[in-house]
Amino acid sequence: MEPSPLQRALAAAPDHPKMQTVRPDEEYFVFRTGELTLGVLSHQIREVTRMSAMTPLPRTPSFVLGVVGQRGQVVPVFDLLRFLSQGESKVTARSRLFLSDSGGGAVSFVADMVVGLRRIFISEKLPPPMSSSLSHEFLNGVVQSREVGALSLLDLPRVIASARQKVTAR
Amino acid sequence: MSQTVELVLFEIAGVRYASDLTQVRRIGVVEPEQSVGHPLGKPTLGRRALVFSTTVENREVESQLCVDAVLGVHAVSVDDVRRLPLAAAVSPFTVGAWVEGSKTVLLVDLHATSVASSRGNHDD
Repeated sequence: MEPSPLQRALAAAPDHPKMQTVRPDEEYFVFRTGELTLGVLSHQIREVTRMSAMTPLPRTPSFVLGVVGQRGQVVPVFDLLRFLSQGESKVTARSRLFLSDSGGGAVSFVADMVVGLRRIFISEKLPPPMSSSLSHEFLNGVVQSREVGALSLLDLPRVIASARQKVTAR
Repeated sequence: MSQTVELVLFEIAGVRYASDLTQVRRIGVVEPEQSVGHPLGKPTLGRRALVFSTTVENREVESQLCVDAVLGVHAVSVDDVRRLPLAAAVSPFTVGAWVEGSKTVLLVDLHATSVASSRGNHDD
């Protein structure tokens, strides 16, 4: 009896997987704020929470929206859109906060929507285009994603360091 | 039993703040010539003032912070107050926060509002 295509395939199948070329990748936390879709390295994010009651701070730069109490800790809230001069976030009940401890001390940022965790192949990262309105100072690169479109990868520690410097310089 | 500190809770333009009760001499009516300005923003109603003592040229004088409402005195556990993080500690008179669950009330040093005012650092 003639072997079926499956039987022929099984007969030719290797016993062990072939050695594959490992494509290095990184995991990013992807979110939307305003018109921007941004990603930050996931290990730089401590947690993502709902918006809670925010207390405004006097005499701070416009990108400092205030502070929130987060499990007994006072955490500043920054608006990335204002910080990057890309507009202003509209904080609603649907907004989310993501917290980072990068650079010592917790800070949080407002996100309109959380897309989730995505693995990005390092080989797919491109340098930010010259025409980008986002300052290259704060970008690690850009990726064209089938799912979310143009994704800008933020250098979060640099953003936080710069934001702290701007706050304390006043 | 943890140590407590008495705070006077007040409201300016819909935002709640608290100050050390020992800094407050009394709650009075607004006297514009004693005002330290509006370092925390302009009150909506501004019918009351927290009156406190400051020293000007070695003389004790009274100064006022105009508020919308005084909401009462609270004995707050020291465990529930925090210094402000570096990224939030900008003004000389917001010295910390009282954290009550998810709510955060800024702690204001009334004497420091007067110093800021004398340096021409006030929002009128």
